[in-house]
Amino acid sequence: MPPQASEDSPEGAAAFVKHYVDVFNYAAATGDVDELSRLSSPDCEGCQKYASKFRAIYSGGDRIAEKLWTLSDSDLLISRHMRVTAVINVNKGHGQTQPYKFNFDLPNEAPFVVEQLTLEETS
Amino acid sequence: MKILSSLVIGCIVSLIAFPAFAGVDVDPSDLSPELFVRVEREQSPTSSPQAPTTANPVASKKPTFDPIVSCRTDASLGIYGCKNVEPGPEAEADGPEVTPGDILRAVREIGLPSLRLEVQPDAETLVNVETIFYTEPQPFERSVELLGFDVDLVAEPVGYQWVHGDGTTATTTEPGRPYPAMDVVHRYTVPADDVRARVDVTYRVRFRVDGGPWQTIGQTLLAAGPPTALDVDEAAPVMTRP
Repeated sequence: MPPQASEDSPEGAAAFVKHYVDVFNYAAATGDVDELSRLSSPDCEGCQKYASKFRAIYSGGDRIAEKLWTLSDSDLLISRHMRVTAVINVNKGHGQTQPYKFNFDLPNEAPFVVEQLTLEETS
Repeated sequence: MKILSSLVIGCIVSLIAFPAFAGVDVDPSDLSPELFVRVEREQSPTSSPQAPTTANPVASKKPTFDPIVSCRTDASLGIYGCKNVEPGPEAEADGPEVTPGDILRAVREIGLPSLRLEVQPDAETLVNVETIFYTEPQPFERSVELLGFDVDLVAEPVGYQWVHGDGTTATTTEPGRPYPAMDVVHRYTVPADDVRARVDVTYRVRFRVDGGPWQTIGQTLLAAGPPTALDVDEAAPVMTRP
């Protein structure tokens, strides 16, 4: 983990979310979900669903050949309750990507883990 | 003949160098976020499936999550310049003076209950059978005085880490149940004497000041459990009369 990602500051929270996206892609590309699980709270339903899906894919002998998430260039927004909102360009297959607004709920203080992962409704 | 054999060797070499991938490439559309991650609707002040996470549950969710800081991302350098979007409401200043840090310090001083690991079969189990683990969560509720405020504290277990003692661990959100339930189980693969297994509990702490609204602290606390000694034996086959 980059040292900045454990800093108790907005910069630290932003760096943590960027690192989490990298770890997510690594888990998707390898089926090794140890680090992803370490950076996700056990009660983060979305995180756990992804982790067990990745594990299931690779233990079944299948794989994910394409990179799934790319953090967009737009700014990360951090709210008072340590919700980091990030736009992630999600690979939808067949050369298509679609931007999604993800909310990463982090604890108020470092060390950070993703306590809850939600999608913001886009109209 | 020589050409043929070199052709065969060539094929074998290419097979070793480029082993055929036998599985399936999963289509990324099967991993679309909607299938995994809950969509949060903006107008849902009443629907809170989990414990209230906002300081004031009466207020709608939206103002709580108004961004206050905007951070520039730089993919290549990973440097984040963050700046305040808007000054926070001044009202925060005369809010409760008891901070989550004070609460956590108080809870640590009191000590959260460590849970005893129960194992079935008791004290002795066998390799390659499902050994059942469970524990009995204890409620934690206290009222304390902090900085002149009456503070009510509640800690709830939100996660259990099962340390099997053979180098493996497992994490669940449920405390498991005794036989015949098989909620939390583990298969030991090698026989061993005096394996020390335990369960570590993650607690989430909520508090309220002077009877005000309940607030949840984002940071969780861990209470390591006392070790339970366990012998893992190998089962010997025994002939019995039919």
